Formats: sequence, C-alpha cells, structure tokens
Amino acid sequence: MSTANLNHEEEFNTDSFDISLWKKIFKLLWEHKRLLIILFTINIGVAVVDVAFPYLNKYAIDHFVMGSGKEDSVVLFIVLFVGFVVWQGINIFAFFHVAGSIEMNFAYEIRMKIMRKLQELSYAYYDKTPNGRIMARMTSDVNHIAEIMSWSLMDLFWGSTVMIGVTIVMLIVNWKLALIVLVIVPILAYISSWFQIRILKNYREVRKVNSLITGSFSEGISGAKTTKTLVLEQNNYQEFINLTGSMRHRSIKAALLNAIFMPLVLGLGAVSLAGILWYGGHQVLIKSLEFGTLMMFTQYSSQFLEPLRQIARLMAELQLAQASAERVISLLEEEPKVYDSDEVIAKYGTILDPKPAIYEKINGNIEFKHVYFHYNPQEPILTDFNLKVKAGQTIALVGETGSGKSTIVNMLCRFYEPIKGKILIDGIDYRQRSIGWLHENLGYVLQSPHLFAGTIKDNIRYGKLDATDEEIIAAAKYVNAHEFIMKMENGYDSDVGEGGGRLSTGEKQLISFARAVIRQPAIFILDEATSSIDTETEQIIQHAIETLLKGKTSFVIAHRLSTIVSADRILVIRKGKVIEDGDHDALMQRKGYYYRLYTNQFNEELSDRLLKIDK
Amino acid sequence: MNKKELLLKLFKGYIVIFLGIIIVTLGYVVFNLLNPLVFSFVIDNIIDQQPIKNPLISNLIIKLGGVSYLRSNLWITALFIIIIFLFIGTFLYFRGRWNAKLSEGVVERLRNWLYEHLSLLPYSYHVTAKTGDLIQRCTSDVNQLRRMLGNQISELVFALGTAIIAVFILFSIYPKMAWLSMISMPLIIIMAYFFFAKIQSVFQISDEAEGAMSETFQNSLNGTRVVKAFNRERFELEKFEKKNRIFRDNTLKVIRVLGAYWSLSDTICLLQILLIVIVGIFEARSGRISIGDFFVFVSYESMILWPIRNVGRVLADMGKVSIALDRILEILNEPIEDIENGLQPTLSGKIVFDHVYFRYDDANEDVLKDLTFTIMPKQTIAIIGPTGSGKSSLVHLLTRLYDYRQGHILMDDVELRSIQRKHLRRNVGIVLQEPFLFSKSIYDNIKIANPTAKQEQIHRAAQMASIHEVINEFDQGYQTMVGEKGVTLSGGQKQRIAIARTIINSCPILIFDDSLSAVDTETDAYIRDALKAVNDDITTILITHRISSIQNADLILVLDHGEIVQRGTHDDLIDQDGLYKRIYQIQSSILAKENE
Repeated sequence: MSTANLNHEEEFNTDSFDISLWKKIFKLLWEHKRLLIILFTINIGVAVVDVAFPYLNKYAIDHFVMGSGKEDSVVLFIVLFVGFVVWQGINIFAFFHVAGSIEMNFAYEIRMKIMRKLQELSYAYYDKTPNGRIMARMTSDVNHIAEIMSWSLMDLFWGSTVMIGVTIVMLIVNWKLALIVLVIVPILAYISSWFQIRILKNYREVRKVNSLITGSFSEGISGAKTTKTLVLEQNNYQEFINLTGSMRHRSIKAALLNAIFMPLVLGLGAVSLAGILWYGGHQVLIKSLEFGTLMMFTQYSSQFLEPLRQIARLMAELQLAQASAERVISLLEEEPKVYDSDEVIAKYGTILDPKPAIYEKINGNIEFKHVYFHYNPQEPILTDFNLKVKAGQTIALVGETGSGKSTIVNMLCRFYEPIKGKILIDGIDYRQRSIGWLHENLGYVLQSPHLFAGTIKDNIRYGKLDATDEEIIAAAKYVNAHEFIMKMENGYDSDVGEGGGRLSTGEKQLISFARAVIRQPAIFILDEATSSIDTETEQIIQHAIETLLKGKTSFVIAHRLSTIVSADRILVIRKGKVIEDGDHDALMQRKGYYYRLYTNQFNEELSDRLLKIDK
Repeated sequence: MNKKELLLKLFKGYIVIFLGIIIVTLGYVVFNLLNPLVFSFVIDNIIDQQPIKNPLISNLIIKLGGVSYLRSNLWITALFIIIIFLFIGTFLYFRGRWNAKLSEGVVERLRNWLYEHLSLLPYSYHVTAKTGDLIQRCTSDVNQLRRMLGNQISELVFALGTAIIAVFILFSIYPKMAWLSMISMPLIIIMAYFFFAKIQSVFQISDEAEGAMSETFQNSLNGTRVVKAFNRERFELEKFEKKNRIFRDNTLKVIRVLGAYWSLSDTICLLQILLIVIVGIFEARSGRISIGDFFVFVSYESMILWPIRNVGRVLADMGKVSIALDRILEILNEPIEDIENGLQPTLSGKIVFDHVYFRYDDANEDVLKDLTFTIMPKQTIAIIGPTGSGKSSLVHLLTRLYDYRQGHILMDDVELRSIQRKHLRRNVGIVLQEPFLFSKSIYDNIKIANPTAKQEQIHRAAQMASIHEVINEFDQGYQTMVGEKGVTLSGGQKQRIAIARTIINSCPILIFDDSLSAVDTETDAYIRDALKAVNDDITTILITHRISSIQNADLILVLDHGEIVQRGTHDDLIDQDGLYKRIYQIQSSILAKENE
C-alpha cells in the first residue's frame, strides 16, 4: 500500500459536539461491555492507590517520624506499602492488557462491519467514492476512533477518579487547605481547554502539510522521467520548498503554543504550592496542623495537575475525532442502491450467506423491456430501451464513449437496476432472483483487467474456487495462456504482483479470460481493451476471444474489428438508442454509421486497395 | 559524505541554538531541584528552628530579616516558590521554542536536500529504485532525526542532569542514604535500553500485519468490480477477516509486552521509593537526618526515577537515528546528473546517428547496435518494431536520459553528449506512452511546462491535442483536479493532456513514444495534422505499433533486437519481404479475410 495516500477528505463540520453521533459510537463500544466493566474496575484500583500513596506518606511522617509510632507497626506499614506497590504493578499490567483488548477488538469489529457493508454496497457507491477515501476510513479513521475509545477514554476515567478521590480526602483532612488547591481547578480547566483545542488543531494542520510533503516525494519519485524530460526540476523544487517552509512555520507555531501552555500549568501549580506553604506552614507553626498533612497537600497539589490536563486533552481530541467518527458512521449507514427483496433473501440467502444449491440454471434468453435509466434526472441515459436477445447469440455493442453501451452492460449485470422497466432473464424479471444467482452465472472480463495479488493459479481459480489444477490448466490452454505461463519462472505458481503489475497488459487479459472461462458461465460479458498490445499477442487474444464467445449468450463492448465482424448481431448505440441492428453484412449494406465507423478504422490507402480488389 | 559531515552541514547556523537548549535545560534542572530544598529549609530552619549550617544561606536570611521575621512572614518563602517557578517557566518556554526551531529548521533543510537530490539523480537510478522504500527514507527516517532533535536530546540532558545534580546534593546531605537511593538506577537504564532496542522487532511484526491487512483491503477494493461480477463478496470478506484477526492478535501481543515492561519498571521504581521512605523513617527517628532532609530524599527520588526511565529509551532511539542517517546518506551519496553544463546550440532538427551502440549499465549486451541514419529538419520519422526491440532506448538517448556507449549522435553537427541536458530537453519535446500527470488541476498540469503561459496558449495547446472539448465537458472544466481528488481520466485523455503539456513550448523536435496508442486513429491523425499546421518546421519522431499512423512518414525505421532491419518509406517497405510487411499483413488480415 502506498503511504503517500493523500487523505483529501470532505471536511465535516466539527464545531458543534454531535451527541447522537457519539451515542452511535458508544453503542458500538458497548458490544465489548464485559471488557469495559473489567477495565473500569481496574481503573478504580489504580486511582485508589494513586490517591492513597500521599496519605501513606503522611501517616509515616506523622506517626513514625514526628510521633512515637511503635516500631512493630512499622512492619505493618511496610507490608501495606509493598502490598500497594505489587497491587499497582499488577493493575498496570492488567490495564494494558484490557485496554489493548478493547482497542483492538473494537477496531476489529468496526473493520468487519465496514467490510461487510462494502460487500453489500452496489456500483453506485463505488462510482461516486474514490478508493482513497474508503481506504482512509478503513485505516486511519478506525484506528483513530479505537484509540480514543480505549486509551483516551480510560485516561479520562482515571483522571476523574483520581481527582474525585483526592478532592474527597483533602476535604476530609483539612477543608481550608483543600480550597487553596481546588481554587486553581476552574482556572486550569479553562486554560487547558483553550490551549488543547488550539494545539490539536495546529497539529492537525501539521499532519496535513506532512501528508502533502509525502505526496510530493512520491510524485517526485514516480514522476521522475516526466520531470526530467520537461525540465521541471527547478519548478518542482520551488513548490517543495514552499511546502517544507510552511511545515516548519506551522510546526513551530504548534510547539510555541505548547511552550506557553506547559509553564502556565506549572505556574498554577506553583501558586497553589505557595499558598499551601504560606497558609499551611503557618498552621503547622501554631500547631493546628500536623506536619505530615502539609506534606500530603504539597503532593496532592501537583498530583492534581496531570489528570486535569489529560481531561482537557481528551475533550479536545473527542472534538477533533468527530470527523473520523462521522465518516465511519456515514459509511456504515450507507444504503445499497441495488439489493434483494426480503422474499428473495428468504429463498436464496444474502450475498454473504447464500444458498447456491437452489440457484436455477440460466439458458441465456435476455430481454430489456421499456428500460429507463439515468445517473441524474437531467441527463437520461436510456429511455424506453427495448432489446431481445436469444440464448447463444453474441452481441457486439458499438458506439462512442458515453453512448450508453456500458450502461446496458451494467444494467444486465445488475450493477445498476433500471429506474423504470424490467430486465427478463429466461422470461423472469431478474429482481425475482438474487444478485448472487445472477453473478454466479456471469463470466465477466473487464477492459483493464484487475488481477489480485497472488499467483497465476490463484487468479484463475478466482473464477471457480473449488477448481482443480487440471481445470485451471485446461482453462488457460483454452484461451492460449498456457504457453506464456509455462515460460514464467514458476509456471502457474508465479506471483503476478500487486494488481498484476508483473505481467504485461496482454498477459493480464489472457489470465482474466481464463478466470472467466473456468466458471463455464451462462452469460458472457466482455469489455474489450483498447490499449495497444504488440501485434503478436494481439493475434493470440483475438483467437482467444473467438473461442470464448462461440455459442454463448454474450455481450461485448467491442473495439476490435475482428470481434465485431464475427458477432451474430451488432448493435450500434448512440445516445441510448439502438440506431443500427444487424450482422456485419447487413450493416455494411446500409452504408450508415457502422459503415463509416468500419471504414474509418483503416486508413485511406487500405480502403483504396480494398475497393480495387472489389472491382 | 559521512555521518559526521552530514550532521555538521545540517547544524550549520544552529550551533548557538543547540547550546542554548542545553543551557536552559540545565537551568530548568537546577531550579526544579531547588523547590524541595526551599521546603526543607522551611521545615527544618524556620518551623523547627534548627541552626543554619550553610554560611551563604544564613547571610541571606539575615539580610531578609532573620529567621524569626520569616517565621511570622511566611509569605516571603511562598514568594520564593513563585520566583523559582518564574525561572522554570522561562527556561521551559525557551527550551520548547528553541527545540522546535532547531528540529524543524534542520529537518526542513534535510527534506529540501533530499528532494533536490532525488530530482537530480539520473533516470537510471529511478528505474531501479523502489518508490516505497525511498519515500520511507525521506519521511520516517527524517522524522526519526526530528524527534531526536526536537525532544529526545533535551530529555536526555534533563534526565542525566537531574540525576547527577540530585545525587550530588543527596551525597552532601547524607552519603549512606544517597548510595541507597541509587541502587535501582543502572537496572532501570539497562532494562529500558534493552527493552526498547528489542521491542522494535515486535513492533515490526505488528506493523507488517497492519500492512498486510491494508494491502489485502486495498487489493479487494481495487478489484471491486471483479469481486461483484464474480460473486466473491464472501470470499473477500473471509480473506480480510483473516488478516484483520492476525493484525489484532499480533498487536495485542505488543501491547502485552509493553504492559509487562511498564508494570515491571513501575514496580521497581515504587519499591526504590519505598526503600528510601522506610530507611528515611528510621534515620529520621534516630535523628541522623532532619525531617527536611527526609523530605528532600523522598522528593528527589521520584524526581530522578521517572526521567531516568527515559534514558534507556533515548539511547535505544539514538541507535535507530544512526541507522536512519545511514539510509539517508545512501541517497545523498548517489552521484547526480549534470543538467547545467554543456553547449547550447540552436537545434533545427537535423539529427545524425553514426554507428551508435548503447547498453544499460548492468547489462552485458547492447540494446542498440550500430545505428546509422540521418533525420533532416521538418521530416517525420517513424520507428516501428516489436516490444523490446530498443525503440524506447532510442528515445532515452535523444533526451540524454542515458548516454550512448560508442559511435556518434550529432544534432546540427554538435556531439549530443556535449550538449547541456537542460537545453536539450527544452528543445526535444517528448510525450511518453504512459504519461505521468501531477495531482494538480488540468490547467496547471498543462501550464507546468511553461509557467508563463497565458490562458489562450493553454487552450490552444489543448485544442491542438484534441482534448479541449473533453475538458470543457467536465463540471469544473480546466480546474478539474487530476487523480484521486478529481476525475479519473482515461488513458487516451491522459495522453492528450500530456501532448498539450509538451507542445505548449514550441520545441523544434517532437517525439511521440507510442503516446497516441490509446486514442483512435482519427484523433491520432488530427493531432499530428494540427501540429504541422501550426508549425511546419517541427521534426517529428513517431514510435508506434500502428501502421496506419506512419504511412506518410518520410522515413520508417524497422527495429528488431536493437538493429535497423529495414528502412524506407511505406511504399518501399510493403513491397519487401520482412518484419514490416508481416506487421502490415497482421493488421490488415481482417480486410484480407473479408475479400476471400
């Protein structure tokens, strides 16, 4: 995965605290309630000891040092103290264990929920959402929320418990001294929240610039050839300097806020310490306060600072994490545009839990009946589109980009559904059967074939998960891929690299043919590639396509003349309408759009020669 | 350059700030340690009214009005606390400020060097370099240094300074207990050092598991269409679940190890404090130390212990910084390409190849052998041949991305090798087969090659490249962003934008490296006609698979295994038996079939 993934995310409004959103997050967190309860218990344990230590010291001073505590009760004191130390050690270990479990399990569950949701969502979602955004939700957003919902939340809880505990002990022991400590609380709370939100916002800015810098490095490296041939070195360097300059500027700004904030916090601590020394010292002098108590208060006053800062930090974090939470929740609440009805699910199961045993066989008769479709209402793509295809026919769809030929195929595959009208497969509206049923019967080859990281064998087997090695080899032989596969170092076990990167475009196409063939599909969909492949591979591919399509109901978005010419039926699509329909000979005779398109594919000279021979 | 030289170069101009950081940190240490001493003084000498041993302090007290005056005016000692804090606050502020200045300044410098150096490294370096690894060096390795400078150095000074000064003071109070207070220190430092040095490998397992999970997810996401069409939703879910689970379990292991370390080191620290408390109790009871001394011992112990835990950690991190610097140096020590020096002749388009041989550095066989041909100004030359025949290598030579090994290439009678690279590349416009567009707007992508270009020029270049209308159809027109942020452009659209970008500067020589492969033949012809119409003086070199594109070329060279196997015009070549005729026949086979 590229770390240079720039998370240019839509910004959600983070100004107001969205309670209903956090309720949803807490509901997800509550699924781990057993761990949560354990964690809260441990937390209280840790906080109790944190509160108790200064008190123990006070006891030691007043009793053993100043007073005349018995030597044997010192032993008891030591045992108690050691007990606390061990108890704290165990608690810290348990705390890590449980908080870690919550973080990881919470993140694990949310990821699974997202993944499940993504499997249900249809093309409409993917067409409008760039992969980088989905990726960011799955990784950084989930990590962010999980971290806050475990460690930070526990810090908040620990901080509050310590503060409450300390406050109670102080008030009981000496309420006047307690007030001197407590008086700084509101001031500190205000200062902390003022600074923390600004500090975090600044760091967020820094992170943004940082990801831009990473992006620049990545572009500088992968675009090196372009940079050199266009002599852009100077230009790019200037832009980069601006970025690093703004990075330095912002980082220093964030650090300065911190450099002011820390002394302020300590300053408040010093003020309350001075107050304790002044007032408490006086009380000790007039013997109305025990010496150990004074010591205890000095410790408490500094112990108060840390939890308060933690709480302020967490409040700021929560506010800033709201965008992450919003993105994750909005993905989880996304509704698929194409889905099965309840009756269909009852019969055929869901996508993730299907019942393939009862899938009906498909013969391959297809009918589009008064189909309407648009992505947005102003621009209708298909209007009252009708088409009847007999089983076993090869249909070549020809037309310009944007003519609607891809939409027809997407509609047939039920990646999108008609807005009005019906699509019948073997005479039955395909919405009466499940999505899984249709897709299980499809053989689909994309224009730019996507292979999965793994071996060639894995990739062909993707078409039929229980295929034997013999079946895989047979499929590869069928599409003439066997020969090049065997030439590779590890044959069928050769690694194709990420996205099939180690194979040439032509080789990727052949593998994707084999992957479709091994399914023995009832309907074949082929989106032909336009990019150039060297002439000899091209011939192999042509041959492969011919064998592939023979006698199967197939739809081809065709670019190669050979495919078009040998199709049973050619549909010329323009602005969502079939403007010409027939086989090659019939369409050539019409001397219409197809005729022009066909002759244009070749240069004038070739046509000239052709005409000469015709005469 | 070695590590020392690199650091010296990076620190140039920052030495004063660096020293300043050390000084204010030490100042912070001293004043921080004063606090408990003031308390102890109040306890022993003011409240308990013991005689003051230190003559300096007793002088000061007398000046302030004597012990009994202080007793009735405790606010003076309280004020002392505040004054101490004012010093601490000031030191802290400057420490934070200078830390940021130093680390950000040094790192900015390093980032800029890296970027500049990378962009000047020869093309051959970029071909073999691993992008992900390079980015890692430029980002996380640089950050390692940033953390060290921004934080860890002053933390180290703070921890060691506190420990040394505090121990020194404790020894001056009561050596016997001072020894005791140091017992656990080496143990804590060594433990932390080995722990943080070792935990790296455990972290790596978790990082790798996360990487594997992201990769699986990304892979499945990129193949969404295949997943859906093949009904493999459940398969993908299960595949992801496995990686998700492995990541969770591995990371939990790391957290547990961390938990074990922190709980163990906390326990050791607390036991050390307990030891001092208990011994202190007995010593104070027997009167060998005062209560104020007891207070100082207990306070210092915790002031020393918590920072000292960081020492081991910082030392372990220093090892990592050293490795990071090595990795950065590997980049900076690569020799760069000279784009500034050389001749700058006026190039008309006359190019002579005279027995040119070329091989890549690591190869032991020539990819171009004995090439001899002449291109005259204004001519269109086509080069055709199977994949791997050396077509692209030829283009690399013409822009001096690589230099030839033997023979001569003359441009207007000047040896190509002696021409300044910058000048050459400004005059030889080249459009690559898979052009790289920057993640900027389309407008900026075209403008990038000529920063002074006006809007009309940009539109005209786009029109000539037959992409103007397509751009205008986008919602945001020329301001549409390229890449993830904006539209996904088709291969043909990218190629045409790259063409517009190249022709916005009027280069006398234009090379199309199979760069019209993804547009249809008509557009292909249109673009080349438009170019000719605007400027008839352009010399064009076309590399292509398409016979139809090159029929009007003045000269066609057929390359095979790095050699010119045929040369001539289209009409010459279709009458000869050979590679050209074979390619021609394959491409027109459908027509032939039709005629039977």
